[in-house]
Amino acid sequence: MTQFLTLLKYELMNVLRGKWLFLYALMFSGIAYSIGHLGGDTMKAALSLMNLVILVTPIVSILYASIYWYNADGFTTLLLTQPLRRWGIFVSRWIAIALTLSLCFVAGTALPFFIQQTLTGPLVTLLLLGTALTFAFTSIGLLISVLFNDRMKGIGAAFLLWFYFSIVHDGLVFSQWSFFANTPSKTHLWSLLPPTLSTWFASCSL
Amino acid sequence: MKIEIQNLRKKFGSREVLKGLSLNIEPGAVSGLVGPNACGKTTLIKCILGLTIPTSGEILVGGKSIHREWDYRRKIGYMPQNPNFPPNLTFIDLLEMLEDLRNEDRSKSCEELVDIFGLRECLDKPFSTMSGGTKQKCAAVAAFMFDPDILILDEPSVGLDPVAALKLKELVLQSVNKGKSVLLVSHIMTEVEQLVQRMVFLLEGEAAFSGNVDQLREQTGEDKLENAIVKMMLSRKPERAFEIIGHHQRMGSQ
Repeated sequence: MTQFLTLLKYELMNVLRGKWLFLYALMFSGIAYSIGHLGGDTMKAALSLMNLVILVTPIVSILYASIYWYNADGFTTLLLTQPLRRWGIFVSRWIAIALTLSLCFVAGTALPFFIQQTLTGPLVTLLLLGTALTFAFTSIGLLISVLFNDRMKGIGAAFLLWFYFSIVHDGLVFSQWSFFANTPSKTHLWSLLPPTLSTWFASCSL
Repeated sequence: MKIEIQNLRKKFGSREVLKGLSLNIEPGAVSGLVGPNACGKTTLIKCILGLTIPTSGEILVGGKSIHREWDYRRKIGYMPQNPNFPPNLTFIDLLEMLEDLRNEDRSKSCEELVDIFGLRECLDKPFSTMSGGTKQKCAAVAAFMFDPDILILDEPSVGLDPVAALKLKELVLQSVNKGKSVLLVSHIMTEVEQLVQRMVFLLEGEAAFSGNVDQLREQTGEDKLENAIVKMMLSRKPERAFEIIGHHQRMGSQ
């Protein structure tokens, strides 16, 4: 466990020193500030932000994780030649990337609302949803990078998977739902739901 | 510490890279791993380091199988051909990280190694600002810093300036004198000639030759190691080997 925490510490140090992550936080701050400043209630602000979060957090997470993995190829080799368990190397990297991206997203989005003292229930749900999406898509990004040795193929596959999960899959679920609208049992549709469950849950709670 | 490789096979899809390779890396000697490109040298090193899992066969380090083991890597110092360190970390971060991860103190010689390679002023520099040669020197320090029983050096002098290359050779010879096992992969013949006592010649995934350098000269009938290696490399195309060696000798006499 000590070894794992040490690995996590150095992975976090490496990820946190990447300057453009702060731009990611700044982007969310800018958008959240604009939406909050336009007026309207917190619910409307959360809904507007949710449309953005559902598309932006997955693509940033999946691409950042893939690119980070390919750039850290030599570092991975160095770690694998040390007396370390493999799972520790992979899990610590996943947690370090997902945690940093989540922190940037949460801090960037929450700050304007926090200053305006409007950080309430729906927005907190939105932050949790974004964090869940970040962890899920970071793991997919890392998995793709492990499966594809070729960087361009890996990044292409990451982009296609994002496109499928963020746009095509939702479309499939909703089209099936409308198609079977008059059918008494729609239980088979639940098999399509897991990837969009967080979206669905967030929509309901909002 | 001895490394024993027994009937090692490695397949990537339908392509068999290592074809039942058996050899020993003895302690107290530099074993040179030589062969043409794509003959399986890197795959063999990766198998020893546990980066690639062999299709069949066994590798024993210090008499123990390394299958599903990870702690044996404590005994190995590895210097890769193209070291690629995390760009945002500094050199001192790397040294501290390795120390923390291994949970053991760097040997006293670590400070000496930093001075030997003239890296003192690079300690606080991030790797993103370092040249390829400087990173190679950092990799040398990382490989030697825990005074490991086994050293695996993959093209160690590529990218090093002549002074650093000379210092590296001295370090290798000192390690051998202390009874360490050194596995050296190199295409630089002068380096092989100066350092290597035992030679393993890989050809299409098989050990075409394993023995000391004099035996190789004897077997090929060539005095110059360079010519002996060319002859060995082209042993399956002898007419081409004679043509290259003849041309080389004519150039030399001119």
